[in-house]
Amino acid sequence: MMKRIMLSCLLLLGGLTQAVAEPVVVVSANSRLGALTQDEVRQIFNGQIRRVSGAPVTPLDLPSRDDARADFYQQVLGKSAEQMKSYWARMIFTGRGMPPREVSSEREMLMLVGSDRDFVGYLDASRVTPDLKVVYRP
Amino acid sequence: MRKALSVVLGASLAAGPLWAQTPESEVQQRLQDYEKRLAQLEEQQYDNAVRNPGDRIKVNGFLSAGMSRAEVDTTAGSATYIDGADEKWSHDALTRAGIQFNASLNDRAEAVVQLFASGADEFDAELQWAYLDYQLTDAVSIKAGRIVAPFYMHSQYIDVGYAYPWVSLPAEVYQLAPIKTMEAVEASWRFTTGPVSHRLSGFWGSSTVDGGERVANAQFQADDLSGLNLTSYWRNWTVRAAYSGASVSVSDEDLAGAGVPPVLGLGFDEVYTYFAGLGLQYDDGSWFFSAEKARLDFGNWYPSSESGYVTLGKYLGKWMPMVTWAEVSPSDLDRSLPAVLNNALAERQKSWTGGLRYSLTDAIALKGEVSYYYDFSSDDVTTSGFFLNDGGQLEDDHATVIRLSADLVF
Repeated sequence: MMKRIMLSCLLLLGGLTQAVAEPVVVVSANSRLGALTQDEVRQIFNGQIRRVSGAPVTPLDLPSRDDARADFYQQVLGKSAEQMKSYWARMIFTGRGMPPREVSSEREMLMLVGSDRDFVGYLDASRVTPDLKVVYRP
Repeated sequence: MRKALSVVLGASLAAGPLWAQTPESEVQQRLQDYEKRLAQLEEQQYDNAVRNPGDRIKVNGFLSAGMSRAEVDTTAGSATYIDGADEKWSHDALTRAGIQFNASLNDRAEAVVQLFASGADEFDAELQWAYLDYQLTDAVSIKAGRIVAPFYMHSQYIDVGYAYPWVSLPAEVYQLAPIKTMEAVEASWRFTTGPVSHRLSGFWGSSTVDGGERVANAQFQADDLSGLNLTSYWRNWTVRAAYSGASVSVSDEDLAGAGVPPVLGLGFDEVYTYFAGLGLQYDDGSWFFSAEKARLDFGNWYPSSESGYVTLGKYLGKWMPMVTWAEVSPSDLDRSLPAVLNNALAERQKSWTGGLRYSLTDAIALKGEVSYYYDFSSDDVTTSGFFLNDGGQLEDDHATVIRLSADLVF
């Protein structure tokens, strides 16, 4: 009986860890970029840098309702949706920058990042396709 | 519409038997053609999406609806805090809204216009920002037109309540210099040193400012207004250093109106005035810390001020409690002046503020804060802090202001 409870607990735990998404940062497979550091990823998505080792970078955001977006900002930048919104309010209304372009779906993210080597996006690790290259894992 | 539908239905029904008669290979061929065509269409759609990054004109706005009340005892008349709070709940002093249009002219040039109206100004709409931005290189951009002066850390977005956790930024620093907008040219340069990214900007322009009710709305003309500021970002830290200077003039009539008796023969003509500020901020999404030190220095007999504040806040889910301590005090007082003049013009005040912010949605915040102001007088000067009295004097060396606001961006 005890064993069975422990087993189901383990199964439940396994299920839980699977439920936590793992967002990864991706670029086109033929991009010149190698691996990015966490600082670089933060700077790209904060709009503080537009080039990484000479290569132009344009960040893309998933739609705000997408869970992978919340996971990405929480895990990589340590910020909630409200905190990012407040950050961008400071940038927009002082003319210092605009938030990343928001794609309409994960499918558009795949198409855009796959087709243009300037784009930098993020996705759940399980959704990476062969024409993408993972440049950062949190 | 209904007719069109029935035609299509009819056609497909008529086509039904034909399909049945066509050989299977031909059907497969047609399906493959359709799939190919569909893929081409999708490809075109995404090509368009790559080539046309968004709209040519972007519209963003902000709104704060606030109310405030001051608890202050006076010997006669009534007192009002500098941000408009008085003895009755007022709903317009903190209420304000703005809308901004960013129009891209080409790959490098952008025109930005921000219309702003506030209850403090009877909701007369004014152009707060109106400038042309030209991206010289990836790292350097030039702005020319009407811009908000970047004296202190949060100066440029002081009206966007959603952008910061206070209901009202500490007056000891932010209400010290009444200059807000200026006509100027600003160049900014972004660069990185290892993991630290920086933004260095310099500006040159001019501005005419209303000193506010406490100096009988004296007009301060600031010429050759120029400054340099450096903001550096490293992980959760932001450090900012700024220095701005101007040649400031006030007419003799306005000086007399502000309470400077003409018999003293004190002029205010092309006086070199500077604003220096040092700011530090930490925000890791769990803790929020912000501190600033500022100095406003008039190169003549007019009392200079030193000020600063420290804020600590904690994010607790949708809630954020925070506490702020702030101070302003006169420095380098000209003791040869009559004490009554120094008392009228020098700034002295300390305050404790306890606040709470709540995120209603990811675009609306509700905020409340209570500020306790004290220590308006010392051996040097006797002031009433940032309170304005009509007729009487403050009975105590302390007073309280309560503020509530709903802030949103769209």
